[in-house]
Amino acid sequence: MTTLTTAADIESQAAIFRDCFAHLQAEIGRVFVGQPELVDHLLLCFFCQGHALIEGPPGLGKTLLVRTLADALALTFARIQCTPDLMPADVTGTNVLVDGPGGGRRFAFERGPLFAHVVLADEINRATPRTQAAFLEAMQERHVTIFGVTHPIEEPFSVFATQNPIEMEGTYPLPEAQLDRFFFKLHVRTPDAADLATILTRTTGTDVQRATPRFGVDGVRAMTALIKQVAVSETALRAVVRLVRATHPDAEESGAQVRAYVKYGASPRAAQAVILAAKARALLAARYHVAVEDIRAVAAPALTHRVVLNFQAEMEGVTADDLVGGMLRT
Amino acid sequence: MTADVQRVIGVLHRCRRLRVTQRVARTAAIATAAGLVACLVLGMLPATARLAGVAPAGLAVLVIAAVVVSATWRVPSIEQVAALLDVRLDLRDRAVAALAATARTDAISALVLRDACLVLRGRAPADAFPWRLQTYGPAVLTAAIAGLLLVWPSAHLDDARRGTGSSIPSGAARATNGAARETRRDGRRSPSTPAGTSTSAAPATAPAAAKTAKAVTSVTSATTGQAAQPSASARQPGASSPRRDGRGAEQRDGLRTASREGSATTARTGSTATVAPRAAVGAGSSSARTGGTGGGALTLRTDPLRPPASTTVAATGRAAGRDRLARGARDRVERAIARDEIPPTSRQYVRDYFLAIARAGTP
Repeated sequence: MTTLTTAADIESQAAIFRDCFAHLQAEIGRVFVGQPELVDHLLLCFFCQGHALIEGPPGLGKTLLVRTLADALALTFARIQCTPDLMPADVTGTNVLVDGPGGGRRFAFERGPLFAHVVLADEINRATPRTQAAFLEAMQERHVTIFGVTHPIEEPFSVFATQNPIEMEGTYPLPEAQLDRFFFKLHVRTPDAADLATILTRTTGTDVQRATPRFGVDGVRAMTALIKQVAVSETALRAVVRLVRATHPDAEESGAQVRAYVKYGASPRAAQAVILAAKARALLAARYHVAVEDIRAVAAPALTHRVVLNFQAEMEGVTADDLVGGMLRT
Repeated sequence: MTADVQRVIGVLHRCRRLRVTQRVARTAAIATAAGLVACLVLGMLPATARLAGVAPAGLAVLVIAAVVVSATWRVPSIEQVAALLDVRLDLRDRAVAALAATARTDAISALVLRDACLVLRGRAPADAFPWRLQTYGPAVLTAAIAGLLLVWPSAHLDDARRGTGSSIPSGAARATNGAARETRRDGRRSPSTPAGTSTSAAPATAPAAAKTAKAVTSVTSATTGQAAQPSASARQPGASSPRRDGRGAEQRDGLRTASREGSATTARTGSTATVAPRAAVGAGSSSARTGGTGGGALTLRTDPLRPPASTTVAATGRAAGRDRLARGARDRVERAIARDEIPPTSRQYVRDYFLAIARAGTP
């Protein structure tokens, strides 16, 4: 990662970032109908090099959304359909016996789909915990270890996993440790009447909308590096700390609702995610510092899946979205 | 230090100074109001009336102390001012970020500073921290009202004194006023006044009563704060008196009562115990014509052909001066009683008090 050292470089790179973001919004908008907030959060997550868990009923275009992102950026894309019989090696890759040039045989590492720039793990909660665990190292460490050999994953690298919240039979809910590795958790909503009509028009005709690739690997890397350079003032930092601590029932900053319904609060990874996403958002607003309003805008998708509710909350139908929304309003 | 850094720091310091100034102004306004109200309350309490002279000094000390304390105590830090500036001008934390960036020299800090400078350009500190009337208004209004209440009575008295310097109300006139007030307040004639006095005295003393009525009108004006505008009727004999109504008749009756039945009036009003007989004595038997002896000028106004009663005043010398002061004090009390400013239970006490200091000669 290269750090830009002159103000002019930063400004030009920031302009490219805004241009790229607008391009992606437009390209995704041509294929994926509606839900601009979802698209923005997905793009922020990608440019921050995070992983997103996309939750929604089947048939809402989750896969299409991620595929379009990869297409619009000219990045490699891999889709993993998670099933109970999916093995970790199917995800990470494995050593296979190959014929050598001299007639001998040797093991060679065959890369799995995790080595793509954009990985879609479809219905991740249908994979067994063993396979789900295969994603852990890759998502956090950005490398895969096979037979004692570590294989780094090329950046940019983002895993977009989807899960169906309705059908829970035959699924393996993601453990908290794995949930924590997701930068954002995004919800895909059912389209309204107008959006549904547009979807029907676009998908049932002869015209097939395709995104035009424009920015490559290097461009994305430069933008990712730029985001990390954005300044964070003491005020913004304190706001994030206060916000994350407010999700902990035993912290002073927590409210009565959190004390009543939360079992475990958000981890430091949540704070990192909030800061990074806020930095990206600040750049989009042509600012070079994080404002509190950026933090408010990105806090909900970064916190909700990291807050573990207790039995009382489940009994009373209180969700993490309600709690985090309440915290952000105060 | 770059120009952007200087600009940002300069703006923040200006805002801070303005903030401190506003705090000082607000505290001074509140302290002044509180001090004036305290003076007013102190002046109203009989027990603390002697502290009236101390009150202005105390007020000044209080205001100065408040200003000093507000200027030095919890002065907002530059970071606090920056945060407030962000909120007030909706700068999206630009001021805070710029302040933090002043300590760094990297490229992104330079951009943050430049961005802040661009946004702050053309903005005055007063845009963020305006002088709001609702912040200072109540305190200023309170101070104004309290000040008015403090100043008005003394100014009024000064006017009255100035007016009575040449036309000090006579004891008879005061007795008359007291009787008239009693009559007005009760809505009926004073019990000590014989019923039908005015009608029975009218045929014999009609010209004299007319003159006396004018004199009484003049005196009443003087004692109710209109002394600066001497009654035209008093100066122009024969002119029609503006108070030739029922009240005037009551006053005439009161005058007669005071002059003829001084002891009865004394028993009724209390404060005129020493005044009414003296007035009656000074005026001889025709007090209705002279209106009393105490006010020589009044006599002159009433009847320029009569020898000036000021010769009588001059004869009394310093004692007369003390007497005049005592009468002034008693007048104030009577007016305060007439305005219901003194509770009924305390009226006798206050009258006795002034009687006592009048005897001592140190009102």
